[in-house]
Amino acid sequence: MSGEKPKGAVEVIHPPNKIKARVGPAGKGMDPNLLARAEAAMVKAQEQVDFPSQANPELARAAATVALLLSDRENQAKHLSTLFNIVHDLRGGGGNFGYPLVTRIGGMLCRYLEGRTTVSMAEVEVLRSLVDAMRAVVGNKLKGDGGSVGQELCTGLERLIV
Amino acid sequence: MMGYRLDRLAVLIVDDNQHMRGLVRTILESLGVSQIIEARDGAHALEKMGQAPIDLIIADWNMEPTDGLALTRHLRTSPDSPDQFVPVIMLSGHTERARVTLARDAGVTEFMAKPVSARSLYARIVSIIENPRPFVRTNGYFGPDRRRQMLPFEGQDRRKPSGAHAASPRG
Repeated sequence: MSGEKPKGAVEVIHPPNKIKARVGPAGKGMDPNLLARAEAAMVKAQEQVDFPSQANPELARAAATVALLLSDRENQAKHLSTLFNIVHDLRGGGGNFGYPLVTRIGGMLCRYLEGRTTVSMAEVEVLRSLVDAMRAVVGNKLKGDGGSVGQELCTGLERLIV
Repeated sequence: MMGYRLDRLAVLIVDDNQHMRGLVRTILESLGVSQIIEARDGAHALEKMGQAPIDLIIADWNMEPTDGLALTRHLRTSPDSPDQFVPVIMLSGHTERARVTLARDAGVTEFMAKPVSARSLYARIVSIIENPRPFVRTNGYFGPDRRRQMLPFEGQDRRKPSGAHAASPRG
């Protein structure tokens, strides 16, 4: 690293394109055949993952963390951070392993928690509802968009967090 | 059709979720990448980078104890970095604008929101090959140029090239 620069000074560096050198000059853009092969392999891999078996213990941990928000109020910031991380990971995985409803509800919870370090009793109940909804989705194996039940559930939850 | 020789790439996947690592591995293998290394978190990734050269990193954001953001910052700014310029594709469930900006400011090369798709990952790899971004160094930042589009802007262009690899900032 160089030393302190004058305020506003910007140095531009063009590093050698090592990746391009390695993959060679022959390609251009995405190869549609290769893409089709990758998409097919991905679908097959997704089907082999049992999302509920990994999500259920995490959702149980999320529910226990929500309970701590009331029983251990002085450490709410820590518990909110834990809850955010648990749900964030589930949100990321849900859409990839057949449970986009988990991603949708998890997204609501993450947005609700964004930047918060404390929550009221009423807000804890909102969080509890969102975690319970995700548990219901996974417990009942509501895959895909969950049909009309899934849509109603999400519409109701969206009203709750407004 | 002759394509890029992706089989020559060494790619490091960093994710604490083994299913997600497996999914990314499946995509990469289907694209022909043969050298795939996996790590559980940022610290583990640095350990792996000490063992073999890596061409590309695909890292999750949320990991414990060292997350993808801390890994990227270390790579870009630490004197102990194994490769300051290595391209980093950041995977995340975060889609909020502020979070994407945070990742960009840490020095990630490409941001990719979950759910992962073969198309989005392949597109980003191709983008890194075909449209490498210059790096910039200021008092508060070192990493890929954050101005994705080279749009004209008003005022003086204070960016000046330097070093052995420097070329025209407009190049």
